[in-house]
Amino acid sequence: MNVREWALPVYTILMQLAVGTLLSLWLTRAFATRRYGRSLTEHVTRIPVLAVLITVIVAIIGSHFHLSRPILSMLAALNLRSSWLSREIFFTISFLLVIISLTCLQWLVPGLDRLKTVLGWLGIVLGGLSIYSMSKIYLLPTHSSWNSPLTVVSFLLTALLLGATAVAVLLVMELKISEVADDAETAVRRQIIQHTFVWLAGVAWVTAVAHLLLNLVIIVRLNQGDISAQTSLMLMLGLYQPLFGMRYIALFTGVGWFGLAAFVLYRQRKVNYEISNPIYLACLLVLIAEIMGRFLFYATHVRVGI
Amino acid sequence: MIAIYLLYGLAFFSLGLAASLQLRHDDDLRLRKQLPWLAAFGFAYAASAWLDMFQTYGANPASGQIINIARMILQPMSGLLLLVFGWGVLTKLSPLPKWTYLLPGLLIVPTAFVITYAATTFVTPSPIEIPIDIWSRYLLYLPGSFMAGIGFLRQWRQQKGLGYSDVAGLMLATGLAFLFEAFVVGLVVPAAPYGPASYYNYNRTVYNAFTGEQIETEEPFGLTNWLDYDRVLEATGLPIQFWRMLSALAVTAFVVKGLAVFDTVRDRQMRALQQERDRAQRLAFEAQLAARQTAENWTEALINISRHIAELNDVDDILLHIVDNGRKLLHSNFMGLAVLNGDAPDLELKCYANDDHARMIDGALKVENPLILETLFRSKSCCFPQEDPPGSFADLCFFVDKPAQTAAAVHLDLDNRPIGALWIARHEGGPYSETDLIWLECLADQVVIAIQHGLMTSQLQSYSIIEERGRIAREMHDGLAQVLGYLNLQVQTLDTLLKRGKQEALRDELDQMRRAIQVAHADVRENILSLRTTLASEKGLISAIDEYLNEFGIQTHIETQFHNEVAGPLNLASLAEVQLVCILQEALTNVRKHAQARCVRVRIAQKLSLNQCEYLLMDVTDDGIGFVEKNGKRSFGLQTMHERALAVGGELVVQSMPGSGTSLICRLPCLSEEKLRKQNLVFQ
Repeated sequence: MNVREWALPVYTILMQLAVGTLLSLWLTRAFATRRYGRSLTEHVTRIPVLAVLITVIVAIIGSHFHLSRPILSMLAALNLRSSWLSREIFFTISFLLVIISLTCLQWLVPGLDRLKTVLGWLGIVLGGLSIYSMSKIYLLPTHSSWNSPLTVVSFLLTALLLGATAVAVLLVMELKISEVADDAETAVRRQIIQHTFVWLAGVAWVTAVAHLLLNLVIIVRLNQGDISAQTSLMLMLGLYQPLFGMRYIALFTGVGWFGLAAFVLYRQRKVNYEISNPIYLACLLVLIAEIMGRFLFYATHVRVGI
Repeated sequence: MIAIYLLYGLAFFSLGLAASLQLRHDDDLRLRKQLPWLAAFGFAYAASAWLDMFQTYGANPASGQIINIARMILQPMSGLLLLVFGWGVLTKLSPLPKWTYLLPGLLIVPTAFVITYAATTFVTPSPIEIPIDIWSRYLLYLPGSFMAGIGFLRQWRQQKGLGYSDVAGLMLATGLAFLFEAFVVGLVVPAAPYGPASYYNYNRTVYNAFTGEQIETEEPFGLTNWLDYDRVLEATGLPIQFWRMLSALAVTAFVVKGLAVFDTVRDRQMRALQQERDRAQRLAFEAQLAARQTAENWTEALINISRHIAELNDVDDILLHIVDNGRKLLHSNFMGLAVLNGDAPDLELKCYANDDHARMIDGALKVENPLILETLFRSKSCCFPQEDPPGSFADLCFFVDKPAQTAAAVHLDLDNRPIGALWIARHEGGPYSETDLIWLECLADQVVIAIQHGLMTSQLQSYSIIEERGRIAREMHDGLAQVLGYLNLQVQTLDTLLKRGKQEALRDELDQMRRAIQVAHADVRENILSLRTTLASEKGLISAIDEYLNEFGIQTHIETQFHNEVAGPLNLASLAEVQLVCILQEALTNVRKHAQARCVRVRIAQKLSLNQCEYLLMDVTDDGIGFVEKNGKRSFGLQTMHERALAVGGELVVQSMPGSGTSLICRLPCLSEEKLRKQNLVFQ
């Protein structure tokens, strides 16, 4: 793949990362608000929401490297009735606008909690629709390795997996910033991390296992498919076998590390700086695994016909 | 070219050797702790470079394969060692700014993409040693050298801030050398059919990811043929190995030189620390001496005050002494003592001392300063480091124009009752310490003791007056009153005898009356003499005794002899002198009344021991009729004399035989020379 082709993994992975992060963040927010009050959770979610916005912007900029004429990219949004690409662009832009609004509200307007909550959930829905549209684009009869609902499921699972680990990283970063700023509510932030990391790690584990099972199903399906499907399988388990293996090694090492760190943290009943390194490394490994998975997704497809 | 390869490897080997030689220095420099990684990198990279040389020039295919494998292992390994060294230099030499803790979190996404991209390049048809070489440089050498360069540049700024310009210059040079190495070792890579090398070095080229098929496009892409090995050769006329060799030599030279300068600086710092320690020790010693001197001064002052009190000196003198000396010892410009007036609940200044004089206050001068009153009525000692609220230091220093800048005050309590306050003030200088307050409290205790002693002394004087009045009354009752009563009876007898005309009897009665009057007259004169002698002690004891004996002889017609065998001072305590006179008077009264003596001799002598006066001896001997004690009981007069002698630590012995006169020997202890000297100092 060249840069032009790498633009697709960059865009899809970053979009799924952004949507998944917002979902995990809003679930964490709901939990923390009930337990620690709105004032604190509004502060805690500020930086993560900004990070989601930056991710979406980078993803959209990255997607333009895939286009021959980026200046005309908006024309692709004109066929909403018939094109999943147009719908993807529509939902992505809508998601971006909602995230921009949400970020502005989070950083500039105190209060308005209900509006922020609604905007967050609206963003999650739009983001989810964007991922759905994005995955539907690949359901092409000419690409038998892609043309399956499993592609949709795979994309959604990636969003969930990346979201769970990314929120962990963002919460640790936010904690560090509060430590540096000598914030009075650092102890409460630690409690939030302590309680949310357990279920975030649980989500990561479940989605990782689901990913593995999904890939097994895909392998069986490709094996039973036509010649192009079997060619794709040969590429996956032949030329790209090292990457295929490395992907799952990285994935389960990452979620394993994340789970272990969350477990130790929960048992020790204390948070210190040392939690950051395992969480960063776990997220890095999971991200590498998912980018490799997406690379394999693009690299192993075989087109039938013209 | 082979020579350049050789020197290229040799330069990195030298780096490793120099770094490992520096390890032999046993010290705790933080930079030196990172050197093992640099040494290992130098050796590993040198080996890799020489293997490269063998592979390029003259290796056969079989050994070429082995060399290739060894090189593929050594290259990432050396890169990893450099990365660890760079991380250590960046993070361990000095603490990073806090914001850098966020960098790992921010770099996760780009790092993940780069690593994944790197991983995917290993499954392209190009030879595996090419991606190993390229990614070792991009992912290991480049960040390792870059971090080391930044680390040394941070050291440059830090040393510059500390004023070590020589070290700072070397750190700058080392940092730049590492950045140069980052460029030539980490960023310039061999040509490769994938990015980023391809995008740096070639026109836009698209490769099929799994067939390796190359498709040329017409689209321009900027950075063509930029950081290629050939491009370096073309642009500089020298191969990249030469520049890498140069970077290694620069790094070696500057790191070694830097370590040497670090040693020099550390020695300089050690010397400075040593000097600082010596200075601190000297200051501590001087402070210790000063504290000791202060403690001695205070001890001496407190002993002097106690001696004043013990010697029953005048209370006003003692208080003035306390105030004057206390002011000097506490390095103050003013010290005041105020007591509560018994009649009105006013605090009145009793005495004060300033820089010029110390003085008692005769009239009533009210103290109305709120801080002093608060100290007194709250019974709480306080330091007042500054005037808060403004005006609170007004009326603190009496008879002084200059205002106080700092003050301290303590309360005076007698039997848990506030009786006054003692305070000090400074016009300038630092505030009073807690130690000053403790010393001031000690002085306050002495003031209270002096006042208490003064009260007791006046009570004792009252008791003495009452006792003396009783004695005079007793004497008048036993002597003059008896005689007057007798004379009254005799006058009635004379009246009766006159009425009856008995001239002879009348004459006899008149003779008896004359004798009685003469006895009464003698008693009265003796009493007057006794009173006068006791009160005239200021003349000196010896002359007072001499004068008294002369008067006694004239009044009683008893011959008196006085033998003074003491050449110098008597060395008696004041109280002992008084008791000695009283004993002598009582003894002479007994001689006059009962001894029927013609002559009485008084001798005063001293018992010396080791040139020190041990005791004073007074011997009163008469030639009278003598007496015998009845049933071992002493008369009232003798008992009184015994008690007087015992009261001042002496003893009294009476020896008498009927017809052989009486001898009374009194011994009173003398004060030592040292005690006398101190007593005289106190009085001075």
